[in-house]
Amino acid sequence: MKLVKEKSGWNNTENKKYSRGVSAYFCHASYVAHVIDMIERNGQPYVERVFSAADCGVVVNPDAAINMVQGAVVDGIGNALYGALTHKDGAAKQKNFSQYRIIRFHEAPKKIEVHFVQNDIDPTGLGEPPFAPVFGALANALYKSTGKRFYNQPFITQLNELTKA
Amino acid sequence: MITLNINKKTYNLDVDPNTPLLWALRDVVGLVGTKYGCGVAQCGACVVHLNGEAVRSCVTKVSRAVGQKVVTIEGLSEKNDHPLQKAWTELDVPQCGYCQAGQIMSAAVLLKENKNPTDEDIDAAMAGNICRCGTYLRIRNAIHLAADMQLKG
Repeated sequence: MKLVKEKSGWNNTENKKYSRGVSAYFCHASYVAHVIDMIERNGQPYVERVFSAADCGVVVNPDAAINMVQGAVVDGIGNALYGALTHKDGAAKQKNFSQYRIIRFHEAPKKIEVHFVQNDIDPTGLGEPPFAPVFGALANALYKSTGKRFYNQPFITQLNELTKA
Repeated sequence: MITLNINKKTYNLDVDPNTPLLWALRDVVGLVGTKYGCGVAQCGACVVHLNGEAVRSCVTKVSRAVGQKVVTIEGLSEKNDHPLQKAWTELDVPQCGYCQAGQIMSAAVLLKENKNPTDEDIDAAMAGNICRCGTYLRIRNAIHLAADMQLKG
């Protein structure tokens, strides 16, 4: 949290133009925190920038590790906002990508800055740990912009109900 | 018998004319670089070139490719040295890799039509290709890098 606070310029007034959300998480023996900078673009929420900090022990291949965190953030945003998977009679109702919305190029952030806590601990997980906290950080960013708490994914459903009301 | 020109080679294939081009390529010819993703033109994993244009081979009947030049990821360059392939290697773009052949084939058409695409151009041209690993940022960077390589020759 300290690292992501520093790297994201949490107290920097220049960042006031964003709806900012933060979240931290622990699993697979790794700690990850994200700061999400959201804007409104064409009436839709758009995550333009993300700052991430991970404590996952010794980072053996930093380039691949950054790629994994960036990927988890991108997919996390997609799942949090759009990923509606519902079931009927024991089968998924969404049979293909025509019914299940997955995040696409124009919805992916412009920048995802990834930082690692330096230490000498043996490597720990980095697939799941950066994925989950995206949901919390995004929910907090949405709270900042709408004043409402978002507890049920996909958030776009609740958001659309809010705009209609 | 269906006669196809694939990657500059001629093939006579014993397939039904209604067979999707994807399955003729993968199951009959054995070119498995082109991937099956969704089967309904929603994901872009199966993109190949038909006379230089990007088509989704999962919904393209093999009969439509007759008399046309089919190019798959295997035929994109002689020695895997297309600027996009070099940029992809340089930036270590793929994670699982499944969608990447389709991504590169879509990007190749973009780069041919637009020598120096902006982020917005890339987002628009690549909107039909999805990636569950979330490598969109690296793909954007790799397309910019390939455009630079191409401009500098």
